[in-house]
Amino acid sequence: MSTPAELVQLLNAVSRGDRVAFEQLYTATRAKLYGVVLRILRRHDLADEVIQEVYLKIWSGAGQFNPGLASPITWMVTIARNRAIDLVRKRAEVSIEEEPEAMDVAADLPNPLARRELAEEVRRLMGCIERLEPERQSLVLLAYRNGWSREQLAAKLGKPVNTIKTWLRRSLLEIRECLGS
Amino acid sequence: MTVNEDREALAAEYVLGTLDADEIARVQLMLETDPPFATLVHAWEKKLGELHHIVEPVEPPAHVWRRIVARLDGTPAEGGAEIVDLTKRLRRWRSVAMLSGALAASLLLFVAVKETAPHLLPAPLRPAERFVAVLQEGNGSPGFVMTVDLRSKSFSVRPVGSGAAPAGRSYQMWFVHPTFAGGPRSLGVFTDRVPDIAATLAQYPPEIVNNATYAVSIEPLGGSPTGSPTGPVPYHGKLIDLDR
Repeated sequence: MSTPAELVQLLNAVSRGDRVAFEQLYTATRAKLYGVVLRILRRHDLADEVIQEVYLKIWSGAGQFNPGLASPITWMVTIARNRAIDLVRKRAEVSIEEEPEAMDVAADLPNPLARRELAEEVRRLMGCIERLEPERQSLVLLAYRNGWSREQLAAKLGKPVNTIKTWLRRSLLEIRECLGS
Repeated sequence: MTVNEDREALAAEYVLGTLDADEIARVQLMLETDPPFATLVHAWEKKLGELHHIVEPVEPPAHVWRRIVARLDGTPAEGGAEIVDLTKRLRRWRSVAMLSGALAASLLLFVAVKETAPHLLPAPLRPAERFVAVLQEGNGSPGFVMTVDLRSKSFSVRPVGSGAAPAGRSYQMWFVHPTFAGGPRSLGVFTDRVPDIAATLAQYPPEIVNNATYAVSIEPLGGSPTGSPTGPVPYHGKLIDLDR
C-alpha cells in the first residue's frame, strides 16, 4: 500500500485523466477495496461487477476528492462500501447464509503489537471501540465489516431489532464522545 | 430522542452501513438536499473511516482490471471525464427530446440552450419568473417535467412517457429545502391524474420554491403511510431559472 501522500498525488493525476496514474492507484488499492466489497457481497461475481463500477466512479470523480474531509483510502473505501451496501440491500436474494467464522470477531481487533504499527487515528478509534461492552464491540465491527442491516445483526446476535437499534445508537454516540475527548 | 439525535444517529448508521434500503434512499435524498446533514455524514465518514483496517485485503481476479480498461476505452479517450460528461448530457437531452414529444422537447431544448449558451436566446424569449425542473433518474433518464410561473402562481408537473408507477405502487412527489427540519414534504400522490402541487407550493415563498429540490419516490399504493418518503427515490431535480 502506498502512503496517503502518494495516493493523493495519484488521485490528483487521475483527476487530470492520467491513465498511468489510474493503473498505479488501482494496483495500490485494489486488494483493500475488493476485500471490503467481497466481505459485504460474499459473491465473487457481484464483487467483480461492483469493484468495476467503483473504480470507474473513482476515475470520473477523482476531482471531487477533498483531502480535508478524508484520507484517500477512506474516501475510496467509502465509495466502495456505499455501492456494495446499496446493492446488497436491494437484492433480497442475497440471504445471510450461516457463516460461523463471522462471529469470531475477536480476531478482527488488531492485537496490541500490530496496533503499534497503525496510525494514530486508527489506534484512537480502536481504543474507543474497545471501551464499549464486549457484545457491542462485536455489533459495531460486524456491522462495519459485513455490511449487515439491523435485522441481520438481530438475527445473528439473537436479539430483538429494537435492542440492536438502541445498542447501535448508544455505541455510536459513545464512540463520538470518546473520540471527541 | 430529539430530532438532532435522530439525525446524528441516521448519519452514523448510514456510514456504519446498518440502514435498510428505504432509509438509504432517504439519506441519499437528504445528502443531495440538506447540506448540514451532509456535513454530519462526512464527519462520521471521517470518524469511522479507519475501520477498514479490520477488513482483510483480497486480491481481485485479473479480469477485473481488463474490464475496467475496456469500459474506459468504450468512452471517448481524449479529455477524460469532462467530455464523457458532456456526451452523456447530450445523450440525456436527446433521449428527453425523443421521449417527451414536441412540446417538452422544445422546452428542454430551450433549457439546454439556456444552460450552455444563454446569449443565443433573444430577450423576448426570456419570460420573467419562469422555471423548469426535469426530474431525472441517476442515469439521466427523465421521469417528470415540472414548470413554475411565479407571476401567475401556476405550478404543474407531468410525467414524461407513461408515468406509470410499478404495479401496486404509487409515485409520490416531494420537495425538500435545507430549512425543512423534518425532511421532505409531500406535494401529493400521482393517481390517474397528476397531483395538484400548486395547492401546496403557493403557500411557500419564492426563495423556498426556487431553491428546493423536487423528487418523486415509489410508495405503497395511495402514498406514503408515514408522511415521509419510505421507498426508493428514483427521480429528482432542481428548478432552473429561465430568466437569467
